[in-house]
Amino acid sequence: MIMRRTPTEEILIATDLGTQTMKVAVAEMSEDGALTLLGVGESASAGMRKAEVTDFGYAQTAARVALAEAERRTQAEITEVYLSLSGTHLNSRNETVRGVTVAEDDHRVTEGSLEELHKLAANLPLSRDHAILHELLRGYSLDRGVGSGQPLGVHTEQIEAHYHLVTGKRTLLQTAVQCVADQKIRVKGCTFSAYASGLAVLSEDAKKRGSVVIDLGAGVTDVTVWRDDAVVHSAVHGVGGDHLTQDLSIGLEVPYARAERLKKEMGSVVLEPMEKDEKITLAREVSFDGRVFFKEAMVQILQARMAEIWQIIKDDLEEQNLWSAIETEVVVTGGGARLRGLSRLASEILPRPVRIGRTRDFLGEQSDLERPEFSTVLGTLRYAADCERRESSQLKGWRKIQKSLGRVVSGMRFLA
Amino acid sequence: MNHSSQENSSVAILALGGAGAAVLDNLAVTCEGEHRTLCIDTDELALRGTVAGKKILVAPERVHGMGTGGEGELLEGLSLEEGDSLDPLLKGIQTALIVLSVSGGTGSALGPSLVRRLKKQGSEVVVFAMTPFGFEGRKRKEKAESALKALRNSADAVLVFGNDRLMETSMAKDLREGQRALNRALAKTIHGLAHVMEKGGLVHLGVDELREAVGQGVDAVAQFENAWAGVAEASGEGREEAAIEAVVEDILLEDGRAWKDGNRVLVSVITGPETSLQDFHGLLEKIRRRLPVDLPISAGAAVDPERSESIGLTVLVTRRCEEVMLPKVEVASKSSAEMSQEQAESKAKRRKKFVAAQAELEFDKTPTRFARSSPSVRGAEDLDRPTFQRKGIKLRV
Repeated sequence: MIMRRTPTEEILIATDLGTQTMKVAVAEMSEDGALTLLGVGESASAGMRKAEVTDFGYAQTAARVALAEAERRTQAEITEVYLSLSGTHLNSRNETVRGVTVAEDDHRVTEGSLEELHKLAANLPLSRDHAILHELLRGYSLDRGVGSGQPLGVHTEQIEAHYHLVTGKRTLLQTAVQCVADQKIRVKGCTFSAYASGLAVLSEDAKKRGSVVIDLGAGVTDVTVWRDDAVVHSAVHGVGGDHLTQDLSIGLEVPYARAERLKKEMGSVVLEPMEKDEKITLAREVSFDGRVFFKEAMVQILQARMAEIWQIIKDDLEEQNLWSAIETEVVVTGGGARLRGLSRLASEILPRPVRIGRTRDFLGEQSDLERPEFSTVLGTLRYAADCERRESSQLKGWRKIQKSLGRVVSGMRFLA
Repeated sequence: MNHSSQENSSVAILALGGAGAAVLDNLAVTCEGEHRTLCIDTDELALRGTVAGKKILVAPERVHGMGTGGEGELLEGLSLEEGDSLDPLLKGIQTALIVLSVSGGTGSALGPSLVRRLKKQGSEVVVFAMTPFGFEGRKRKEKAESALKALRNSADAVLVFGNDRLMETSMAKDLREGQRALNRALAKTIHGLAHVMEKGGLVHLGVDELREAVGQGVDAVAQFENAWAGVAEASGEGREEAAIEAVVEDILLEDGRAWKDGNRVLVSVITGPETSLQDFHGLLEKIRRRLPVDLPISAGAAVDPERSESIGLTVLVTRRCEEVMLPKVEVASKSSAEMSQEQAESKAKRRKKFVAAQAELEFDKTPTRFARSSPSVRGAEDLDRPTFQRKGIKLRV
C-alpha cells in the first residue's frame, strides 16, 4: 500500500492472516526496488483453522488488532495492504497455452502476443466455485519446442507459454479478503503464502537451480518447488503446528494452551542420549494439576507427527517426479521451523540437504528477518514490490481474483 | 425427555452405517432428544457429525475409521455378536428399532450380527432396511438380497424401503432431495412407531403387529420392498381430515405401488390428551374410507400432553406373503427346516469363533480442534487424529 510518497520512496504493507498469529509488515521501497523494513505488528489469531476463516467475527477482530499494532509501531496510516492467502482449498496445476505469431509482425513475438497468451491462461476453465489466485509464468517454448527465457522480438511461428496456476475456493478467498477489507482498508493484491515464502528466503541462484521451500505454519504446511526461476509445483497440506500441539495435549493429557507453551519452550523432535531418562515437570496452574512425564514421550509424539509430515512431502514430490529437478536444497520456514532437531529429522527422510530459511535482502530492522514465522509476510512485501513496479503494465493478483469472482462480489466495498 | 430417561428407555433406535446415521439425524430434527438413540458406524468422521446419544466406532483396525465405502467385504469375518463394549449401551433395550442400508456397506456386513446379539439378550428387534437403487448394479442387489435374508432369519420384523421408488415419483429429477425425503419419511415413521410403542396410551401397537404385518423369516415377502410409509402432521380445526389427506398424498405413496402391492396397513397416531377412544375409532374409519383400497388396518395411538391442538399420523402400508397367512403344515415343515439350518449354523459358529472388532469412540478425548475445518485425510488416514495414536506408538509417559 501506498500511504505516503516521496519522490523516490513509497510504503508497502503486507498482511498474513495466520492460523495462530496475524502479522503485518511495513516496508519502504526505494526507486531501485530495495526494501527497508520499518516494522511489524502481530496479534494472536482467532477464528482461523488450517489457514481458513472459521469464525469471521473473531478473525476480523484479530486482523484489526494486528493492523493497529503495525500502525502504532511504524506511525504509518494503513489504507491499503497486500494479503497472503493459504488453505487446503487451494489447488495448483501446470498449464500450457499456445498461440501463433502473425505475418504483419514478420512472425516476431510482440508484447501483444505475450499478453494474449496471458489472457488465455487467466481464462482457462475452472470449476464454478473456484477462482484463480495466481497464474505464475514458468517459461515459453517457441517452434519445435525450443525454450526461450525472454522471447520478445524473436522470430517464430508458434509460441507456447507455460503457467503454474493456483486456484482456490471462491467463497473462502472472499471471506479472507473481507476480514481486512471490512476495516476500510483496500486489499490491493493477494498472493499465495507458499509463493511469498519462497520469494522471501530463496536466492536467485537457488530459484534457478531448483529448491523446495516448506513453510510449516500452525494450520497448514505450504510447499513450493522452484526451478528455472519459477514455481513448478506447489501444494498445501492440511497439517501444521496445531496438530503437533494437539498431539501433545492428547498424548500427555495436558490442556491445549499448556501443550502449546511446552512445544514452543521445549519442543524437540530428537532425543539426545543423555536426555533418555530426563523428566519434564509442568507446574500446577489454575484448572491444571500439573504433570510429570519423560521427555522421551514428548519427543515421541512430536517426532511421529513431523516424520509423517516430511514423508507426505517426500511422497508428493516423488509422485510429481520432481526430486531430480532439485539441485540445491530444501529450505524450511514458518513458525514450525523453530522446533529443535527439525532439520536433522528432515535430512534423514528427505533426499536433499535441509536448512532453516532466513528472510533475505531487506534493509532496516534485521531482528525480524531471523524469525522464520515472518517469512510469509515479508515475502508478501517482496511480491507487493514486484507488483508496484509492474503496475502500469500488468494485472495484479487480486485483480485477477476480482475478475474471476465477477458479479458475485461486485457489490463489496473492496471491489469498488 | 431428559438424558437419564432416554438412557433408561426400553425402546431404542439404533442406526448402523452411514445411511442409518442420516435417518437418525433427521429423527433428531423431528423430535429432538425424545428417544434413546445409538449410532454404530465404521466412519469416524460421519460418526462425529451425527447427533446420536451414543456413538460407537467399529472396525477401526480394518478401515481406519474411514468407512467401507460400500465395500462390506472389508469387514469380512467381523461380528458385533461378541465383545463387551456394546453391553452397557444395549443393556435394558426391550425393543430395538434398527435402521440401516443393505447396499453392501457397514449395514449389510454388521446388521445381522447386531440383530442376533440383541435377540440373544432378549430384545425384540425391528429392522428398517433401505435397498440400493436398481442402477447401482446387480452386485449390490445380490448383496442386498443376501443381507435381507440374514436379517429376516433373526429379526422379529424387517421393513424394507426401496430407494428405487424415488425413480417413480416426482423426486426422480433430484435424487439427492428424494433421498433426503425418504430419510425424513423414515425418520418420522420410526418416530411415530417408537412413540406409540413406548408411551402407549389409547391403543397399543407393538412388535407383534409389525411382525404380523410383514411376516417373519420365510413368512416375509421374498422380494425387495415390503413397506411404504406416509407421514403427516396437522393442527387446528379439521386437523384429522388434513392429516389423512396429507398422508395419502405423501410423496412416498404417490406412485401407487403401496396400494397395488400392499396387503396390510398400520396406523400410528400421536394425539392430544383430550382424544377419546371413540374419537380414535372415528379417525380410523375416516382413514379407511379415504384409502384407495380396502386393506386390513392395525392401529395404535399414543397421547402426547403437548399436542392438544395437533395430530401426528403415520400410515405404514406393508406386504407379507399371503400364503403363509394359512400357516399350519407348511409352516411346521419350514420351521423344522429352519431348525436344522440353525443347528448347522450353530455348529459352524462353534467351529469358527468370531472376534468382535469394536472400540468405543471416546468423544471427550477425540480432537475437536479441527471439527469446524475441512478434514485432512490422506489415503485411508485421518490426519487430524494424533499420529502416535494412528501408528500405535506406545508412549513412555
